[in-house]
Amino acid sequence: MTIDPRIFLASSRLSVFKYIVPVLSPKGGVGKSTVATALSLVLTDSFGTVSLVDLDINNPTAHIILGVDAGSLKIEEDKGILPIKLFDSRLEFMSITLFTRDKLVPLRGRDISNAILEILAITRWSGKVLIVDTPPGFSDEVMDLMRIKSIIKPIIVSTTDKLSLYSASRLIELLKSEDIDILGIVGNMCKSGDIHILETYLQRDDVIACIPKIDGFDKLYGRIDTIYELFKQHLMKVVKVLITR
Amino acid sequence: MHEWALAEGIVEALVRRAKEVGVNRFSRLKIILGELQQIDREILKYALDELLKLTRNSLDINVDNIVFEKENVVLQCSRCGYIWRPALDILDESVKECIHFIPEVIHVYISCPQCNSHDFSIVGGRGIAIEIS
Repeated sequence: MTIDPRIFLASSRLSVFKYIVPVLSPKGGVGKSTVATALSLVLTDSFGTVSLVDLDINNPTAHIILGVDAGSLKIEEDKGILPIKLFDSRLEFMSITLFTRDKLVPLRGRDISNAILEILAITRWSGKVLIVDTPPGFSDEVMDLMRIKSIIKPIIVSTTDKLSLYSASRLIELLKSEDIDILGIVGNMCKSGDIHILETYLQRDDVIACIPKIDGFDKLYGRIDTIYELFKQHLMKVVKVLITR
Repeated sequence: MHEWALAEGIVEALVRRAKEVGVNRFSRLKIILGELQQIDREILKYALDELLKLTRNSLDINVDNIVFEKENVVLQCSRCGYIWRPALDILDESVKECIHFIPEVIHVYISCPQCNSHDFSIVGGRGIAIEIS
């Protein structure tokens, strides 16, 4: 019988984390990468070093928000590879884009699973919480993560757009059917009163944050101190919920 | 080195296998090295020997014989069906290093020699696999 040793290595690498928080949405364009990146920065207040992995293998973008020049970085090795340190070394970050010179990665299912497994097997993290930026949908990336459901606490991001709400509702139903403990819902691009729309439509009382639409947010890409300050007030509630779990 | 990480994975697999089947001695560990990942066999062997020494001392798990087998990389285009063996030597060192870490990124750097598509499958010789007996 042939054995893939990376499975054991990935499991061992991930065992350093107390929590793994995938940021999910079946619908594209709701701000998953923004929420995942901002949440990672805000969590550093309570968890010291926080780890962020961009598992959108085909089209990663978290590095753009963080201002990481993927083409020029030299990967450091030490019995594996070391994530990039940012935000005064309080945030550590890994993405396939560091190996593709920021190009689109045209991969199919099995190759995506292999790339994810390789990233998880070789990256040596030092954080206590791993935030996972995921692609839209319930794709290979998400399903691969769900295999380790014991410490998985997903966050679902939705706007109040009907398609987003409908997609989020279906995702919640699926996660509940698999007994996956959802950390909560984060509303994005919200207006005053939108929390009630989210709670009513999704029939959940765990909408833990409603982030307003931030005009010109793309002009802040790379200014991670500013992004941290902007999102801190909205995402501190998520931190509190995570700590109490 | 990346080879140390892979060696750790192999030893972890051995330890788990020992627990599963309730034995502490294996006659053979076969390590299949896919050409695409360009694993340095000597470094991997050195790392493995060092880690197995520790495992022998701490858990009394022994391996009598370690054998390596090389597997050639073979790609198949999903668009036109062409099957080929890519010439990895002509890639520049930084690209080879990227493929060493994550073999799938080869899709970014090469395309089908017949139709130029990046949509191809790695049908053989991707990375590392082991057989324990």
